[in-house]
Amino acid sequence: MEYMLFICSDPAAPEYVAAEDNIVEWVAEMEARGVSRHGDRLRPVEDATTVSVRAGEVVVSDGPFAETKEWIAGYDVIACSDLDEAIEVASKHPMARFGKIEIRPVWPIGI
Amino acid sequence: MGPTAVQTALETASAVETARITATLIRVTGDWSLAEDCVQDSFARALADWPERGIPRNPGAWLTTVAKNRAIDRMRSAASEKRAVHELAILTELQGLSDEADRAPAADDDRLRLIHTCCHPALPIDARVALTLRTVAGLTTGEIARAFLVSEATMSKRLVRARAKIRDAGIPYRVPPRSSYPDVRPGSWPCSTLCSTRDIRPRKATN
Repeated sequence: MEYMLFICSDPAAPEYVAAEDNIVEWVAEMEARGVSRHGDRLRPVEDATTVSVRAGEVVVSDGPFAETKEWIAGYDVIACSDLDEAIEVASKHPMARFGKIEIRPVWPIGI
Repeated sequence: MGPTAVQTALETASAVETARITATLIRVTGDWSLAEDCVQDSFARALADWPERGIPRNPGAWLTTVAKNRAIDRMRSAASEKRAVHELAILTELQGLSDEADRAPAADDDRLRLIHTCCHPALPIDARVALTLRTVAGLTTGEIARAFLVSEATMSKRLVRARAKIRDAGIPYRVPPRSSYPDVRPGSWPCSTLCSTRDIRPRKATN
């Protein structure tokens, strides 16, 4: 099964410590295990643009569509045997310690 | 065969066998609704069959055979439609299931797996307890609704949502290894205790 990991900031989490960031090891392990499909960081919400179409008009606004204290800082698409493996993979990600991670199963649209 | 004797035999079988057979079918097919439907069907067949032909010597094995064959029929039609290798593999395993083996410790393992799936931390705590009471302890949705002080419709929706999440989020059907995460399954201990407590099912008044 494929899962999307939303790597989120969390104001309540311990402060980021560069020396404890094991992202390089995490990526290496997940690629070696064949778990990692793709993933990356995302630019901060200041760089977000929101688009919608209303009554045929394209409406473009700056900023994210939801104003929250937590924001998505990155994403990873992973392939795992089940939710327990996805939880294990997410728990090893550095942002599980410095933020939090939402796991969502990919729901193939089958087109 | 008197209707009372059949009813008593069915009630006993329902209390003792439902979770075992359901757990085994879920393990093999991975399909919660299919397993529950097939077990329901086996009881419906017993209700029609036993008053005519008598109560079988081993009601549990009889019910297992009927439920298993029903699952094979349903998997077969699904497999022939899709020709899915995965479903054919399940079919082979189903056919290999022995009715007697299901009464051995393996079936208890299946029940343990079932409790751990029902009590997975990705499910809300009230859904964990409700699902375990429904699937493992065999309480009716109405009985669980009364215990939770909610309407039967609300409880029914909660159970449907929990089963859907197990399927769609890929919650595995296994006993988690001790090392996997520290606070393994809050909910599974109260459920195990509840399930092993006799007389959890309110008995119907004899008259």
